[in-house]
Amino acid sequence: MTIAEDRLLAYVDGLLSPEEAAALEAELRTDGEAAALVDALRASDLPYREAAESLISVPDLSEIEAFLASPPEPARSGGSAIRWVGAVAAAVLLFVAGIYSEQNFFQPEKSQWAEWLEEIASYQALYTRETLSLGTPPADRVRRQMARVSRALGHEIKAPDYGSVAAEFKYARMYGIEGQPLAQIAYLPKEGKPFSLCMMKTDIADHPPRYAEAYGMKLATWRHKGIAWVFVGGVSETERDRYIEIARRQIGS
Amino acid sequence: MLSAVDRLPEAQKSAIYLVYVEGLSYEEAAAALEIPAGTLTSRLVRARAKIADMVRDGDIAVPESKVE
Repeated sequence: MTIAEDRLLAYVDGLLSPEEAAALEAELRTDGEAAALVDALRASDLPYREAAESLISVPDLSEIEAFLASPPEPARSGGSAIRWVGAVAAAVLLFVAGIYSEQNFFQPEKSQWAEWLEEIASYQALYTRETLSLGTPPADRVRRQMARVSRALGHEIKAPDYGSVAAEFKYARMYGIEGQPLAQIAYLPKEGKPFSLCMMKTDIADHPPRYAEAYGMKLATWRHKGIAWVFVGGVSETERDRYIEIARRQIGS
Repeated sequence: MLSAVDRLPEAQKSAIYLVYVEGLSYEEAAAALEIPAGTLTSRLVRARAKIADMVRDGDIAVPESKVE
């Protein structure tokens, strides 16, 4: 093969100019190996982003909240399906699904929850240390991000500081669920897998952490003064408890 | 489809994620991963070739819009 792979990739990804593409196509006519690689690259030109963004459809958030307070009948797929976008929502769903799982709520039938779990787990599994290694944001950006979170949730939210255990704040992002704001603060520890704290408004009374585990991820949720906090991360129980204790101590719950 | 990506080696998975899910350019993704751009594109090519194999073997459900 005489054509550089990066040119072939740029060609398939549509990054070459018309002139560059025409020149490459002329070369491909005499380079069968490169042409075969182009075919393979085209076969793998799939809607990755769309798959990530559209994989989670769940019942109305209020149903989930109500379920957490008092488990109802097994969830059904009908109703006002909404789309949750992002790993945060996945984390929350993982937690909820973990609760369902613990209580054998989808044992009688392999419900949609179980299918969602598989999809969600595959999405969560995309996150590696490297995908969060984009550098630590400057202090003013952190303040802006947290101000946005506080405005959206209607409560002043301060990002717990994990400096004592060498875990860095990476970003705070907002996600929308039919008008319901959901926040995620992502952290990257010095070693091991990333973890996140997620927050959303809740009308449910304060309660201490409840634990679940799904697909190798430790999950916990607690409520404090109108905010439901969710911890999610591929960590040990000891690490989970330490991270939760640090967060709860700092937010006063 | 994402579960297929999950079966890739970590380095390739990170490359796919940053470029095709997060939408970073090759250069931005290479900088984020602290690797040369050539290494990044090499990982993308290796990953895409494996995904193509999975598509060919029927391990990935290809969206209808991709079916010719």
